[in-house]
Amino acid sequence: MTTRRLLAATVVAASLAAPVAAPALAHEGHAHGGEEPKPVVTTAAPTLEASSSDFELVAVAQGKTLLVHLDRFATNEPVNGATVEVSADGEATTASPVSGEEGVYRLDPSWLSKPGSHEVTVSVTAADAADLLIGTLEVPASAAEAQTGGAQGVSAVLGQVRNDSGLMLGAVMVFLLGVLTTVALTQRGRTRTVAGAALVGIGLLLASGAAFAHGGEDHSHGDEDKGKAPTAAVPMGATGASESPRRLPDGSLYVPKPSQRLLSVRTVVAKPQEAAQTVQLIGQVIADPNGGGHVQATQSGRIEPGDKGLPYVGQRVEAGQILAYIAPAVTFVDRSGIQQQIATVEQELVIADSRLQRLRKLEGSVPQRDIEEAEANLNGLRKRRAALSPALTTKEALRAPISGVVTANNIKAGQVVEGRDQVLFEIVDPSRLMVEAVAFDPRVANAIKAATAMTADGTSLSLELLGSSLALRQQAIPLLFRIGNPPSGLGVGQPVRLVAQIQGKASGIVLPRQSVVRNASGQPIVWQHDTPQRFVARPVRTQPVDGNTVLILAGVEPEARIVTDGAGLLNQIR
Amino acid sequence: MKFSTLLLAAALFTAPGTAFADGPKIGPNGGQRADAGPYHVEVVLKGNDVVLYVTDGADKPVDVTGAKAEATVLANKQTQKVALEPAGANALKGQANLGGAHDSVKVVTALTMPGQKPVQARFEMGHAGH
Repeated sequence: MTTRRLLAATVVAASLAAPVAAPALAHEGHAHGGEEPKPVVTTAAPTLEASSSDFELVAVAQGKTLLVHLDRFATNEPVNGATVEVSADGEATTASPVSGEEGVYRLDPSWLSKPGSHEVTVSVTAADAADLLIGTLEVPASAAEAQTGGAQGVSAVLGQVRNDSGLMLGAVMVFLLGVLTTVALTQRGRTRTVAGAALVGIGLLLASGAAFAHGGEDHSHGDEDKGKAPTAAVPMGATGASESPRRLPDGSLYVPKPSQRLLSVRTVVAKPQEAAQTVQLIGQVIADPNGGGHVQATQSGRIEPGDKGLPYVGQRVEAGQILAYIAPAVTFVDRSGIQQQIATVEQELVIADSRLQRLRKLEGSVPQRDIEEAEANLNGLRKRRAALSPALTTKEALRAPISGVVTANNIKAGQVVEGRDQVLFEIVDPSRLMVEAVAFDPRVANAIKAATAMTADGTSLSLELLGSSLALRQQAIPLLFRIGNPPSGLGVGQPVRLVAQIQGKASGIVLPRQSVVRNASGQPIVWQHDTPQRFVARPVRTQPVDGNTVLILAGVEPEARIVTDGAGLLNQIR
Repeated sequence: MKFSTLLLAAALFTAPGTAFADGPKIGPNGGQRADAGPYHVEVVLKGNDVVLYVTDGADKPVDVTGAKAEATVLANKQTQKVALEPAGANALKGQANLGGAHDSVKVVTALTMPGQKPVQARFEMGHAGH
């Protein structure tokens, strides 16, 4: 007797424990792909999400209108000009594009006002692709009641139980437990009444538990589920409440389609690639020795502006253009000395001239040699006079050695400058700039093949290696690169970050630099477009490929859709 | 302790677990297989025939007498609806105009078992499962 009672108790306990231990099993077999459970997103309006290899579709019911957002699956670009035909309950409706919105179509199907779940087939025909998409749209009873005055009370509950396998399971368990309890009571009489009542209570508790387990579980047809449990509870607003993007408890993001359009979120499909190994160097922009010039004075003197005035910093000058004059500074003693010389030469000129006149009159009686000597003497004196006279008045022209832009002007009009040392103007040719970088590892310096550089403001420069120095400078090897097609606004001395490609390959997923953002703890992450309205952060390990792209070495699965444009904005959603 | 009670307890034990074991994506008839509500369905295109095989979660054939099904077929950029009629055992059959194209054909089936709501499934022919 005791053993029988013991056995019975064990069996009852075990049958109670089984559903508790494995409530998730209720549907486990259908959780395909081994994905982690996704949080249930509470949406204010009934929503259908579907995607295929070509398209991604989100349909939102707003009152009697169904708004269909259609995007490319791979890029998340809105699809315009497509023919969208929505069929459900044997009724096919062609949607019309909403003017002023990209990739939004609307329709007013009659079945939308009927509560319950609707199996929806959407036929999409775009210019380059056609597809069929399916999903289930759950129209909550509360929304439909307001419109149709449909099923209420017990019949509604029964309807829900019929539709929901989890609830059905719970109901069956309650029934079975009742049978079990009855068996126990009839065998043992009134003494077991209390125990029986307790059993019924536990059974009811389990039934409700099973229902909850269903609400939160994962399901391969997550599209249907997403709206199901919450929409049944949340009454739909008359106009369909506007959804806001938000961060879900597991750290992923819920971003409704209108918000995605607003942030112009774009994605790429991750493809494993091989890319060159890279190293990062620090460098700065310098002027090409053949594309930069200094203007210096050869003697001390006073600055006088040229015909066009003194050049300004930033002014474009041409090669040979006169930038300024220098009036030579002649001391008083020097000046009087020169004047003395001039006087002497002029005196000798007069004597030599009269002597030549005299000799010419006697031509034939004096030797020809004397006449020629006198002529040569006179010419020599004339040249000396000519050379002496401008010494006091002639100015030296300062000319631009190259065409370019004036980058420094160290003088003002009337300034007295010393010869040599002082640089008066600096000129740089902006189309011939270079980057000088330093490498600390000689092997790196020898292995570099190509490089790109990024300025602080994000401008990318393509670089061509000119060579490396053989002499170390502060324990580092200077490397010189020429900038191909330098962008405007580049300044000499500007620091740049170089990404130099060296020999060797690394494999990973190449993504644009803007895809990689940092999470709250500073870890680099990318946002993966998981389902049409959900984005998941993926921590990644990266290596720069060049100035604009990075190589994801770990953290992203191939074929995942990674956000490129708008990743920074998504990252700010709290 | 009656035997029936034991049986009941055993049933309760196993109920949650029986569920839905998942198999390969290619069905026993060589076509693509997908989930449709509690069923697994498999579509085979032969010439212009569209054949739908229905099995339960444990891949046991389900009798489709009295069932209705409709296939929406997208081939050569043309969408057509094909009514599928029970054709013995667990198969439903219909005729579509495929024009010989079996690759990149997309099929959506809506299966209505007797007394149940319709369940949908989607297939992409010529793609290794999706």
